[in-house]
Amino acid sequence: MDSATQRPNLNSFFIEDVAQYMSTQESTEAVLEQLNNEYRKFKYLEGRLVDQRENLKEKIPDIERTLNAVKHLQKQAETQKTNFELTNGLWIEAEIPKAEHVFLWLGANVMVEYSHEEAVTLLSNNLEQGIKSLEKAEDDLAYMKDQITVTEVNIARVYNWGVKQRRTGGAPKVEQ
Amino acid sequence: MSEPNVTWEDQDMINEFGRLNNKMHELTAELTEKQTQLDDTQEAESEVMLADEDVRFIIGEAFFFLGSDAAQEYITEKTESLEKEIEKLREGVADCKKRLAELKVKLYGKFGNAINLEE
Repeated sequence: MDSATQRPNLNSFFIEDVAQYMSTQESTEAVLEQLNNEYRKFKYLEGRLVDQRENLKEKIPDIERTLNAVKHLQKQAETQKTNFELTNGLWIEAEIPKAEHVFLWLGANVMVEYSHEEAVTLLSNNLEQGIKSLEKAEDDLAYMKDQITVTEVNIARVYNWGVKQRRTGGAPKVEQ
Repeated sequence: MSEPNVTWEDQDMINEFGRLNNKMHELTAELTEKQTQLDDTQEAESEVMLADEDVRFIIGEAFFFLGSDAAQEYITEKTESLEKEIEKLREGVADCKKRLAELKVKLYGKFGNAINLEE
């Protein structure tokens, strides 16, 4: 697998030959239990990745909106009239004189002053980072989905093999 | 009843089917969303053309009072970018559908009833 991306090494094994594999195992039930455990683990990890992806999908448009606003202020030649949300549901009119700087919230209750160019650069970088992280999350998610699919197919084949064994009277007692 | 054995190549195709199926659903959802945005933007465009005084335009999270020309410019920009994105999404969905159809033929061909590949 990729060593460039740090994927947790949980390569679910694909069973090439079910009969041959099962002959090395204790019982169908034991194998099915182990496979089901793996399945649950993968589903859990998948859930976490989905959350991560949804987070990013919200953050990215947010950064884009801020970037647009800064670019617009950059173009501003004279005093602008705006309506902005003072608090939830309460909008108020304001006049923005042409300014040289903007203030950006950086999180953790920290606000920093930037020139327009610096702000555009910072936000563009953040946007790029966000998009890259989203791509990585999507990749990881696809990888996880593969693990899940392989496990599902394994479970189905082992189960079917078990059913066939019982039908042809494999290990358990045969009625006289 | 003997089922054909599942080889690694088969598993690979099944994996690909699963991934592409998901992707296609996501792209389709995004496409619908962007289409709605485009419809809204086009509706706004006609309103802006009729407006003779300042237009209140949302940039970022605040409304800016813009002259009709500036607003028109932003709207055209937005329309173009949305149309481009929609075109890309449409192509993506078409590609997925094509590959999914190919995989279905191969997998149903080998496994028939033993496999279920519905979207």
